Amino acid sequence: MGTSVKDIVIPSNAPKSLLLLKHADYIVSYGEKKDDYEYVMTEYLRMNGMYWGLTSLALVGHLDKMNRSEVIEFVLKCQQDCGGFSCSIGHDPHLLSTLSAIQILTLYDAVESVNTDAVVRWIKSLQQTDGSFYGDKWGEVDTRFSFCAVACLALLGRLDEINVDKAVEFVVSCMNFDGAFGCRPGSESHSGQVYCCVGMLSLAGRLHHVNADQLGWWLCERQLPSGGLNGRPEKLPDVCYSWWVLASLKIIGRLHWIDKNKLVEFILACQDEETGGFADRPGDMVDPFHTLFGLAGLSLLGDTTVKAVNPVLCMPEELLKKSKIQFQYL
Amino acid sequence: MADSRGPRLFADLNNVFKRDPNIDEYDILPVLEPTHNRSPFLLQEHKLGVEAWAVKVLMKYVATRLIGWRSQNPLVKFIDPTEVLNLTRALILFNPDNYTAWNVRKELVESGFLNIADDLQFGALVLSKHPKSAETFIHRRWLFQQLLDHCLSSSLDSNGSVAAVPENNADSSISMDLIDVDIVASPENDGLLSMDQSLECSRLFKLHTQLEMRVCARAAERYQCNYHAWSHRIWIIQHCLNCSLQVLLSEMKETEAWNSTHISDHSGFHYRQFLLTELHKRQEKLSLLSISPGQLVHREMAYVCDLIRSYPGHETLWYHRRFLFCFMLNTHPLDQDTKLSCKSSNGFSVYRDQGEEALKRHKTFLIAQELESVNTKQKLESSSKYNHMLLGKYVHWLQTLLTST
Ligand SMILES: [Zn+2]
Repeated sequence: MGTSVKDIVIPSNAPKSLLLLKHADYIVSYGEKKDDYEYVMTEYLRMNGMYWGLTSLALVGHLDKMNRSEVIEFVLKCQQDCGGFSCSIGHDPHLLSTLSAIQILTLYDAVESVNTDAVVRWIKSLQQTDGSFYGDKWGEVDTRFSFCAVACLALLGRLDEINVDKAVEFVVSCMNFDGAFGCRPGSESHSGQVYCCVGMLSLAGRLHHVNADQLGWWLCERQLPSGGLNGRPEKLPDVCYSWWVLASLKIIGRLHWIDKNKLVEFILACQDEETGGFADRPGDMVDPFHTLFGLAGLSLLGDTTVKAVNPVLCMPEELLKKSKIQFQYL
Repeated sequence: MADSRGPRLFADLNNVFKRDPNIDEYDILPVLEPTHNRSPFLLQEHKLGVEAWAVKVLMKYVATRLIGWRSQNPLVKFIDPTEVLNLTRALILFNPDNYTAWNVRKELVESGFLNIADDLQFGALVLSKHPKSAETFIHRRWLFQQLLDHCLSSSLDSNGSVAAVPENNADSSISMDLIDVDIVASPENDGLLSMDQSLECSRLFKLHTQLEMRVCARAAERYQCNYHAWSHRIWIIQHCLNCSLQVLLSEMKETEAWNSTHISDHSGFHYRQFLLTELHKRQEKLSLLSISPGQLVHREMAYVCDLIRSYPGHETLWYHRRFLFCFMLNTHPLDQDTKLSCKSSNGFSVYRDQGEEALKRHKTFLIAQELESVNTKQKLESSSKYNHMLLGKYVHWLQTLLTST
């Protein structure tokens, strides 16, 4: 039974500076290989994957490297009769892919090219009497879906269409004694769920429900000696969890509670010098998901070569400045 | 270019399941190139191995065909339900978070083409290889919701009998002793056709619920800190067992040995926190069994302190201790011996009159006591540097409680 902390050691030859252009190349080439086994296996995440890739490109200032009309055409084809978006053509609509679709359209300033009334109607139909949201018509409930619903509506400027009070009530019912949140009432605290709940409360303007000191302390304890953050106690550090914890801390005004320099060092070490892209941990395989959260994390930590990122929606701040969306921060 | 081997491999896989419908585990064999005259499917004692190259070819074929059919591609518009079902099976075995494929199965359940018990068995097989597949657990919750709805409607059909509705009599009707039911024994309903439909439904529901606890336990064993397995188990307790007292108590007992051997599994310890919280909500019923929630929490505190001593350097154990301490602090302010120490010179009436003030003093006292206990006792005992750090964090956490009290 090991008594040492579960962590990784950053190799001495790991990258120490940001390979900005390499990441743009990585994302572009990732989008090009299509008839691949990998492609089939990740199709259920296609829409999310496009959001990760396109937002990465936007954050490094190279959104122009993708074909705008091709992307929009794909997104349009994924809107189903019910109004929701599927992850890919021929798949079923879901709130997770719907948020990605709306985010992509916002990146391209093309929200008006889809039937927004239908999206809003569909999202409304997913809210339950206890305030929670189904992810789709089959009835699964999760605080992630509460975030997706509220984020979509905020991006569409239609937040008033749902019962926000009830939605907040449900999210708050998922708070645990440690100040953190789980997926449903009674479920374990989890950084990813914390991000969704705190983000949702920020958009709803109800952050006063959060015990910022208590939650901040729990979030800070996610930092390990390597500098990376984990998602739950005794898990390994991971770039994606680093983002969720970091963004949550930013929203509740406790970002300065962690060791920023060590976290920067950890994130930079997760880059692949040859191919570009970020992995979950140093030396692992890179993917678009960790690439976005690596870049976004560095941006929140003050790296000015990456564009400023919005901590609630994980999109370029300059883009959202133009919208009327209200973000609450503590 | 379509790979002509796809349809053949698909047919072979279907035959394997025909030969042995009780396959209970499967895996990918690291064989990257086909070998002449050898089948890529290896079946032995209900274990299935599939060569890696074949998985790749198979996945491309079944995904294209199933999604093509789903999107009403004219080339694959007409597929009979058996083939659709087989396509989802092949796809999900190796791509378990493909939610659309699971939705197709939901539709097949709704149309009566696929029975719930078979689908639960299939999901259990998927979890043997992918113990943290979120979509597999999501699908199982949907199946259980179907069972619940069935029971509800069949009990209403039979003159409003409530036999099948767990809300009303879960406490008395579900004995966790039955958890030892053999998991592979499928429900034999042949002899029971004459039985009242609602009773039969209730019986099946109980059986599946008990089996489900085992499915969760196995998934938790295969992948540590399995968020999905433990939050699913919580869902089952909440929705299918209505958090019945008997279940909560037996689950406390049932998982203790497991927790003692999985001291780094925070999800497993959180489960105990959930059980204790629910037990506390039922303290009136609990007192009928002459158990007080206070007793349970104190016992649990002794248990975790013991584990911390035996296994220093585990964040999970220290977090569990935090929960327990918070729980004691917020739920038992009028605990016997501390009541006396808070009494000071004025006695109990003052205690009640100055409720808020006294409560505050009481909490402060408990925190100070806990601080002293870790500072003296545990500091001497803690050998490792890391445990010392965890202890330091615990102390800091207690101090923040002190300032917020
Ligand atoms: Zn990750």
